[in-house]
Amino acid sequence: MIVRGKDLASDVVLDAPACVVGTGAGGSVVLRALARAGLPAIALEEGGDHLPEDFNQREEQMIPELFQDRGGRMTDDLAIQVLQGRGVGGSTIHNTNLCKRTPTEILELWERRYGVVGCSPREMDAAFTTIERDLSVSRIPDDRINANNDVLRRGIASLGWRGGPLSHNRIGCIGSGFCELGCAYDAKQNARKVLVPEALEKGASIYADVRATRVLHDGTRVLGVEGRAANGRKVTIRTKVVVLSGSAVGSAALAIESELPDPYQQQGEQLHIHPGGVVAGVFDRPIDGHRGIPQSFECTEWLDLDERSSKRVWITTAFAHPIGTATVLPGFGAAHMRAMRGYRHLAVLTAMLHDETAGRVWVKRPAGLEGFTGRPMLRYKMNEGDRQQLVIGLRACARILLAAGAREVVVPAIPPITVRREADVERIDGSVVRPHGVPLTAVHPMGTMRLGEDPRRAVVRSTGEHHHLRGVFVADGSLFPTSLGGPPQISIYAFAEHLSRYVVEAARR
Amino acid sequence: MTIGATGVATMLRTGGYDRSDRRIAYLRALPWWQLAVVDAFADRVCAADVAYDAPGAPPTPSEVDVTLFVDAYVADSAPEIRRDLLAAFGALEHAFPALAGEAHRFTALSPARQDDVLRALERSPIDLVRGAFNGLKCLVMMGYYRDPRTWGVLGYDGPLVMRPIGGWVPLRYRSST
Repeated sequence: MIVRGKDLASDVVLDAPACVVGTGAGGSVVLRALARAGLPAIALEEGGDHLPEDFNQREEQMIPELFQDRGGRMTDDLAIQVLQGRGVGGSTIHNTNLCKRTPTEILELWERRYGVVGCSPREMDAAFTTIERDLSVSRIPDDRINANNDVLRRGIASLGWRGGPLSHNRIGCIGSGFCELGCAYDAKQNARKVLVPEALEKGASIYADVRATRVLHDGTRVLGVEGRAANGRKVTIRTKVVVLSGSAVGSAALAIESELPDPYQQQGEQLHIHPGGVVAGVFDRPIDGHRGIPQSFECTEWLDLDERSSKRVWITTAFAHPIGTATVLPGFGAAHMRAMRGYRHLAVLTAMLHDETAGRVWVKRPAGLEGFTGRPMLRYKMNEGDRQQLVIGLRACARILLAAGAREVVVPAIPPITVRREADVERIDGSVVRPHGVPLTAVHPMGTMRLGEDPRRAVVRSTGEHHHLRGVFVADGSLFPTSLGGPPQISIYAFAEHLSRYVVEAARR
Repeated sequence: MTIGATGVATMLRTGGYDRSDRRIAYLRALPWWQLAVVDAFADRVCAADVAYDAPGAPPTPSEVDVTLFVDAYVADSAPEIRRDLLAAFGALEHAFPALAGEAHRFTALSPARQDDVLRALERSPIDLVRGAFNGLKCLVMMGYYRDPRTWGVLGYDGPLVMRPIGGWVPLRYRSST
């Protein structure tokens, strides 16, 4: 059953074999595993429960509803927008359904350098296979590649660069292009549609619109979770197993706010966000990038996942509806509106960094606002190596767009950089990647509660259980010791699937 | 003495604004005097590239109620975010003009000088000033481009669900595309 926190008439105290905090890709898998094992857990979900009929394809209504901080989450210097989901299903409700396994090089790196055991490519294969089957993952057919993605395909073909079509988890997609605002057609095979119903059927409960505010513990073992419903009612779950699945930001913030034991001060550290910058190509013909499957093709020419690689850029398409476009285009007033008139003729690419910058999640306790819990904050100052990679990525995007026939290419910097021929691409230099120099967006926060056997460098063991507090597990993107270099949803689902056996064991002990 | 100084500061901060604006009755978060600040900011940020009476002209920010949208967005935000946004609009009015060498508050400047202030904010060497400008810009852009009457400028055909017969965009705005 799903209980809406806003409907609670009184405070609630419940006992459960486990409490799962967050119901995105990680939390939903664990909730299902517990339910299958006859352990009907309770999940607390900060956001609401939204169904296809709720998605009206209006940015100004859906963004505040489906995203953290009403879509306004930023790094603490306001330089990078961080888009993260909230609601039953988490970010799987509004993501673009890209499905890539954790690369072999990354899994081997974690084993070799970060002391992660039991998560080698061979050992993870069963979890990936299960998740890909459950989510109906398939390659996006060539005839579903829209004009924006075709620009990327033609551009890299012309340059002789490496790339190809992506895989997704959609069935019955009509190509409306409104994926980021929730699918009104129920075509996304996401956590809310595929995993949550089985968990509920087998006895799990979800309290939506209830924000977990504190993990209760005595310093050595966990005792439960306290939460606050949207209407102010207090929800207390008494349990011996708590699974943090509230994302690399939310889980770390809750751990910090709850003062979980952290002798080596690792909680919240090593935040990676996979930041991306965009480049727009202006074409003579309409592109209409807002129609069709938004992302279906990738360029991997500038992505080499080996350690110490000098190629750390993943390129794919980006497109937005009017509000998203207006906020990214540089300037204001008449010049901005002239640029907006070219909306239908824009093809947009994004260069996303396989970042090495180590950011941090911290909790701001608002002075003068007594009674309010802390607010998660992200500190992230891009290092010089990543800045250079971003320049490489923006230049590569410009070259692809020119090769595909763009009349001109615009980097939305302040002031904008316009490029009309290959010889001018070098004008895109390091000066544009200072904070606020070019709009950056991050949709893949990772790290902060990392896996590994060494408690001085990792927060949780390779089983997902906290090094210093028995009964606390982590099952979300915060587990990953490094960036993945690509979209993380399949990795999050699969790691939750892989580790859920340990959660079940703990709930039984 | 302190009370006197506070009174003068309050008078300087809130004096000279139009208290008769009927929208004041509907405000949920903005202090009444900030109506004029958000109006002025939206007028410059969302200024049209053609005369408003020209064929294909977009609607004005006031026609699509940008300021009341901003008020609702701020009201529905978490308390600490609400406080930050209100402080940013206050700074825009009373502090940021000085960064462009202006001695008057934002709403007292001519449109051209308001644009100078906004350009100074957009290119400020202070990260948080640039960030604040971008945040406020995003907010009014959301308030403006949420309205179907602005979509004709872009040639955007709007949501597929619940699309009214004939589309969202009035014909007068389609002539430009």
